[in-house]
Amino acid sequence: MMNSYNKATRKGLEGDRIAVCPQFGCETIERIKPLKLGFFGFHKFPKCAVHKVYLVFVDEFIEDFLRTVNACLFDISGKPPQDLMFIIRREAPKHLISFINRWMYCSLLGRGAEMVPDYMNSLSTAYIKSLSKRQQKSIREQSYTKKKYKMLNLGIKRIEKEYIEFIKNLREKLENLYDEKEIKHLPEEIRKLIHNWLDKKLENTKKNSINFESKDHVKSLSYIKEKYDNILQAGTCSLLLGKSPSLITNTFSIYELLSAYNEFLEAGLCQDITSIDYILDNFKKEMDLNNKITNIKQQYNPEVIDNLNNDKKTIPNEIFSINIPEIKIKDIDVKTRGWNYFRDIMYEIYDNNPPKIYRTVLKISKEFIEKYIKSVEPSLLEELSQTVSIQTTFGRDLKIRRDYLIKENPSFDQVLRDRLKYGFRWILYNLKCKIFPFKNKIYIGWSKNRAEYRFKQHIIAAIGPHGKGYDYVNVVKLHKAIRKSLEKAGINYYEEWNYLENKIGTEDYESRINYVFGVVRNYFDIETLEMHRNFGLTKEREKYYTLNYKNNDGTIGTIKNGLNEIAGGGGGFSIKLPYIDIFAIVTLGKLLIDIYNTIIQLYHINIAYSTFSDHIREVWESFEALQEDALKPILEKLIKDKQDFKLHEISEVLNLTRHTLNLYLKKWYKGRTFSDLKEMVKNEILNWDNLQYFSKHKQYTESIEKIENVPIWIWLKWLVEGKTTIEIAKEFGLFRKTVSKFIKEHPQLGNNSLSIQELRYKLRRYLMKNLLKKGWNPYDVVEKVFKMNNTKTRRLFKQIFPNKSFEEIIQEYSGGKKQFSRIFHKQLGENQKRILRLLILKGDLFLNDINNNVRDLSEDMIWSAVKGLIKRDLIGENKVFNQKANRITKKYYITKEGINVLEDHWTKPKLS
Amino acid sequence: MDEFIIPSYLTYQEDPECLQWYNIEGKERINELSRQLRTYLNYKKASIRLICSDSNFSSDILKTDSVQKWEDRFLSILSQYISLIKKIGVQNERIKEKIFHLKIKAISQPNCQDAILLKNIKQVGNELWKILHILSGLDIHTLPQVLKLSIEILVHLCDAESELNPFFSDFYKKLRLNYQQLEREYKYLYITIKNVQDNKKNYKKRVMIPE
Repeated sequence: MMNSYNKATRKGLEGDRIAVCPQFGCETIERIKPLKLGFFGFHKFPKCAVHKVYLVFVDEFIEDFLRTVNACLFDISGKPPQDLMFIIRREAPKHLISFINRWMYCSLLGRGAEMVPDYMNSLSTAYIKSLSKRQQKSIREQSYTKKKYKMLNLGIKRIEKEYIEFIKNLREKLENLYDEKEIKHLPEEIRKLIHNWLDKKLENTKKNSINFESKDHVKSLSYIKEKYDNILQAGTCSLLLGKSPSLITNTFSIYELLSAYNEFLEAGLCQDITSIDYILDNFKKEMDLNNKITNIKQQYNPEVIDNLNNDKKTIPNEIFSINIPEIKIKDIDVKTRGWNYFRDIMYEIYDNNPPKIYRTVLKISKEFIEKYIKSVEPSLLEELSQTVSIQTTFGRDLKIRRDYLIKENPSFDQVLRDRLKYGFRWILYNLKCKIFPFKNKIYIGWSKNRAEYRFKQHIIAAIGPHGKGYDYVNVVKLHKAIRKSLEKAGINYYEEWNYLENKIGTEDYESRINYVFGVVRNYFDIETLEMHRNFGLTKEREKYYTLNYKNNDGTIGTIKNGLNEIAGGGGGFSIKLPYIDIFAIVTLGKLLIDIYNTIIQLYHINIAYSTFSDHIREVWESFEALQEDALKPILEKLIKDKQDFKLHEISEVLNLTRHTLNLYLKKWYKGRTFSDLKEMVKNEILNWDNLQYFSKHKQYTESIEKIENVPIWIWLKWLVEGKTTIEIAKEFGLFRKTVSKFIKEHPQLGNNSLSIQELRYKLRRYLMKNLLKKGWNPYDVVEKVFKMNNTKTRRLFKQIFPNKSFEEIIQEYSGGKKQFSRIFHKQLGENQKRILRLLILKGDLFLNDINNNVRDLSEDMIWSAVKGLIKRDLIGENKVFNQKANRITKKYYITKEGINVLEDHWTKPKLS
Repeated sequence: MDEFIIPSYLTYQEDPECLQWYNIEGKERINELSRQLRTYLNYKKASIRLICSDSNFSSDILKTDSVQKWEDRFLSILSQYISLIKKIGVQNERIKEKIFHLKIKAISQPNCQDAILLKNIKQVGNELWKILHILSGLDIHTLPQVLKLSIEILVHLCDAESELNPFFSDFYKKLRLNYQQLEREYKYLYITIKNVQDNKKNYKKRVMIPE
């Protein structure tokens, strides 16, 4: 059922409109007529006789209908299922990309897109059927001009417009969801895998079918969504296997599916799937965890891992010794002393009996940190108790922000092709020699360039008189291996160098080097192991590899048993920073400056604040990112807590203002504030991982985009015409302040220097000056350009020209022409008409032409009449033309220039 | 501000001949849009079934009678349409432009040859649309070449229709882009299918040589 728009009302209708029952599948459709005289009549808000709900206008309904359709067709659940991707990755990694692309290619129709035209068709047919013959005729003849049919015609146009939007949206979204070049033929074995997966899925679906009638179905919406998504996934899968996705149509009707999806959408459970890259990235993250373990097992020394596991038990790691928060311990030397310090403060303030929320926060925080540390791999746990430079590695390797990519990653090859684009500036590579006596020996190195390029540099160094000597004996092992391979190819490296030395800088040099490289290349395997974003980490990983690389013959490391001379790496930070403790303090909502002050005091570290924040950035990218990782889970748990903590309580315990807290929440939960999240908890929506932008927020963003797209001249027009910011804000569904801010900050409008009023006056001043110069009448400018009542002309002049009088301005800009003659408009008052009639009669003008009917006089005719009077010199200077007329109004003066109207605030014009 | 852009009725008053063609009932107009949307999705589905159905990689595809019948009809109407298009001199440029010029001529001289030609294009085009709608509902994925041809011609038909049918102009313009996207996708799918089929053809059964 649709519920996001207003009920259809007969009040204020300009003409007939069509309304439907918002219940999907209901056939109630009604033509709604306006109330007589605007208020007489019953059933001001028509209801559906079947569902007893208010009807809604079709054109409004259809927009929401298509929004729901889009949410269903392009929901995140439309991506390939994780488990199936893992199976394909394991069994046939080469076909993974092709499989994902294929899946996304099938997703649209697999999720029931076919049903959309049928529904739209039935709706629009019903729309026409509910019209009278005369109305149908009006639509057929496109009689937009008739006011009473306008709304009906607009309804039809709206439906058309929605169609256009739908197909446009379809195309734009599909463009990003798959790469058509990657949709390749899947071999039979993969099809079998998919088939098996589908069979299992269908079995599960049958077992766990949604029974809406059973009482135990009172489950969360996310649970129901999962069930629906399972069926839709099965539908996509069957289409992928070349079968019809009839599974969906047989399981539920489109009405049922869309009703459900509408609820999911309203509850914020839907998230748009944006691109195939997003799917790959997500999968990559999942894979990273698995790969890491596999990687360690395959490449690292198992003994090291065993040792580390043993060490874990013996490391006196104080993080495990954080006691239950209620117990106060004075553990001065522990690495979480900052966390303990804040905990102690909390207890001291309340005389060791803090309120519940304090205890809860400390408990949640403690559990979270412990869990966090336990999730760290054994190899890294050792580093907790090691030197600081290693500890920084630990910080990075907490997965806080992963900044390297390993070979096993499915998108590794793809990224390698254009790694700089993704920010991977450094690589780790290995060279494996294939000839005796260096057969299967490994060299590990890092480089900023491609591995091949770096290898070329090694070759040049090997044949040249560089490094550790020219003689064979003292040459490093890698160079020895390169020289050996040259020998094998019949190239004397000594002669080669002599040749090259004379050719440096020439084309011959390059081509010769390439030739030598080609030769040596045959005796080496070159491989890129990892890509890095962080240089420090690159060197550390190099060190790790050189020490722990497991060779084919079972030996460990590449120094003694390979071609490396020394362990790589080195460097790292020289300042001790307790990263775990910093992380722990952030969970208590402390700000960076507080953390800095605490850390430098408790750990006696002499470090500048800027250096401290640099270190934080080095490890976690930014303090905001750290907060997201450390504070967000705590806040989430507090909001979800059964004790129903209030915002002010949380704000107090975390020492953050309510506004700041809401800002954090809005950032992390896609525009949701504390109250929105509480509402979700009430509705048992507890999965907040893949939230879609909150609908209010989304509309807001869209509205902002809309005002950003308003052309500058429209803004100027609005400002000149005096459209208020409230009116603009209402039109775009924004706050007045937002519009004001936008105008003030717009570089071509306020430019941060003018207020809106000042800007308005400036524009009006400019226009008035220029139009007066062109001979315009100031009253016309006010009425026609500024869209104001022209009686306000003089008042306006005072505002826009504060230092000069009205007459001075006119004299200055209209060149003394004094074109003050008022134009009489259609809305002439009775007295005005009488005077005019008298004028015309006296002048014996247009008597026959105008048929004595002043009401029919157009502006031009009046002007002609006045001009005629002047021409014939019927009106004497300084003479009131008609005593009778003057007696009636005492306001009308006729001069050579025409008729002037005297108003209270308008001084009598000086007549010559 | 009115958010609907209503085409001025006056613009078409000088063109009674054209007006007569597109002056259809509102109901039909709306139904036409959903029909077009359905056809587009059907062709999309056909291309999916073609690439995903394993049997389609076999070169011996069984054509059903109904498909065969409509295929013949489609090809004959298509040839008529192409000859008409050639008559108006479409070569490298888009049909839309030619039709536009033709329309201007037809308005100035309603009974001239160009007006008749324009009328014929509209009629044959409509017939072609009808067949394409019908074909989309059949097992067209069993005929990869016809499917390819259909998608290609649909791009041009949408182009022509956007000019001939001013009330739907925007809709057809957008639909054309969707078909272009489909055409591009199908180009790659078709190559894949051809490769697989060629591989199957080249595979020779091994024969046991008696000793």
